[in-house]
Amino acid sequence: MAPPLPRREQIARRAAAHLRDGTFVNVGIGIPGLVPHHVPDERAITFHAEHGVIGFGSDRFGPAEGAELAFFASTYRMRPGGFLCDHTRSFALVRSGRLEATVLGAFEVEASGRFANYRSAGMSSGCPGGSPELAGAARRVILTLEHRDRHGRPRLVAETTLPVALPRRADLIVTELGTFSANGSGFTALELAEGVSTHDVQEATAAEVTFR
Amino acid sequence: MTGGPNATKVVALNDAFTGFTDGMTIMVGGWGDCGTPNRLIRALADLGLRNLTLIVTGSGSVEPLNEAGSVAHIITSFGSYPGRVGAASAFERRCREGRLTVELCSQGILAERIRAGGAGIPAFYVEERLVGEFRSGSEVRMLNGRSCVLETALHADAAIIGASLADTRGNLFWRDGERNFNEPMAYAADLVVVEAFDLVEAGWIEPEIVMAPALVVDRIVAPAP
Repeated sequence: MAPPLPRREQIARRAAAHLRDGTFVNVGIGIPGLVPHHVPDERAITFHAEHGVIGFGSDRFGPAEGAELAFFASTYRMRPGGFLCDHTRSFALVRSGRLEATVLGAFEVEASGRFANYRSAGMSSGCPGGSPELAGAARRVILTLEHRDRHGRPRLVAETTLPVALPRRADLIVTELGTFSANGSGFTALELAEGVSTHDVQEATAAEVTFR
Repeated sequence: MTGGPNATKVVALNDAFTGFTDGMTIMVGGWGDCGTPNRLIRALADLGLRNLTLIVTGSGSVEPLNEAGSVAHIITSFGSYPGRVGAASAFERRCREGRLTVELCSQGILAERIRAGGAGIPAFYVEERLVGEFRSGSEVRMLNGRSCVLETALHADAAIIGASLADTRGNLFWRDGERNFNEPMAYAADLVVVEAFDLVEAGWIEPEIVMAPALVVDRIVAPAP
C-alpha cells in the first residue's frame, strides 16, 4: 500500500478534483502550486502561473520533452501548445475575465465567505501577490488551506480578525478534512475526507458546520 | 550612449553602478528565483547606498539591500512573507524599527503601472473590484457602468534587471519564466543595467525575437566566468 499523502498534497488533490476539465485555471505558491501534480493531462486544464507561464503541467507525469521549470518551490514542465509572456500580458489574461477558477491560499476564511489572505498576525506588512486581481476576475475562487494553523487554531471561523482586502467571497473551501462552502452563518460540509467524522470537523471549526 | 549604435555596452560589475546615488528610485527585476539579477543586487548592496526607494515584485529578492540598510521605501506585491524565515528577515526588522515603509500593490497592477511608466502613459483606470484596498490613488470614476480607480504610472531613476540572453549592443531575450517584470522594467527607467545570464555578439539574436531593444539598455554585465 502506498504511504498516505502529506496533508498539503491531500488538500491539493481534493482541490484538483473540483476543477473543470478543459478550463483555464490560475494556481499560485503554497498548496495551490501542488494542484497541477494531481491533474492528469487528459483533463486538458491550462494552468496559469502569475509570472507568465501558461500551459504547464506536473513534472511527475506527462511528456518528458517540455522545458523543465522550477517555481512555487516545485517543478513542472511546459506542455505542447504552452505560452510564455511577461507579467503585463499574464495579468491581462487575468483581468479580462478568462480564468474559470483561481486556487488561492488563505490564513482564515469566515462564515460570510470573505477571507484573509495577505496579512497574518505579526506581519508588519503583507503579501497580496496578485490575489486582488485573481479573486476579483476569476469566475470561481477556490481556497486551499489547512483546517488549523500551526498553533492548532481553527482557520474556518465565524468572523476573521485578520485584515480582509477584498469583497470577493470564496466559492469553495478545501482542507484536509473535506470541502466546504460558507453559508453566511457558518459552513456547509459538501464532502468529508475518508475516515473523518462530523465531530472531527465541528471540533476543528470555529463556526457552526452544517452537514448534508 | 557613446561610440555609436554598435558599440558594446558590456561593463565590469564594478562599473555597473556609476551614477547611482543615495535617495534614488530603483526598479529590480525578476520574480522569485526566475530571472532575478542576483549578482547586481548583491553588488549594489555592497555599495552601501542609503534612502533608496525600490520597486520590486517581492521583498525576498532584495533582502541583501535590506541587510545593508540601503532601503527606505519599497513598492511591492509581496512584503512580509509568511513563516519563520519571513519573520526573521531584515525587511521585517527594518519595518518594525520604522526605517522602512511599504506600499503594497497587486502584482498585475504593479506590472501595468511599470508598463505605463515606460510607455508614456501617466495613469490609467482599473476596476475597483480588481484592486481592493491596494490602490495608488484615491480618484474614482464610473466607466462602462463600473466603479474604477486611477492608478498612476511608475518610472524610476534606474532599473537593474536580468536577461536570459543579451547581445553586446543590449538587445534582450528571455526564456521560460524569466521575462516577468524584466521586460516592462527595461522601458521604465532612465538608466537600465542588465545582468545577462548568457551573452552573444551583436546580430546573433534575430530582430523578430528581440523582446526589448538595445535602445532602452545602457549597461550589460556579462555572466560570471
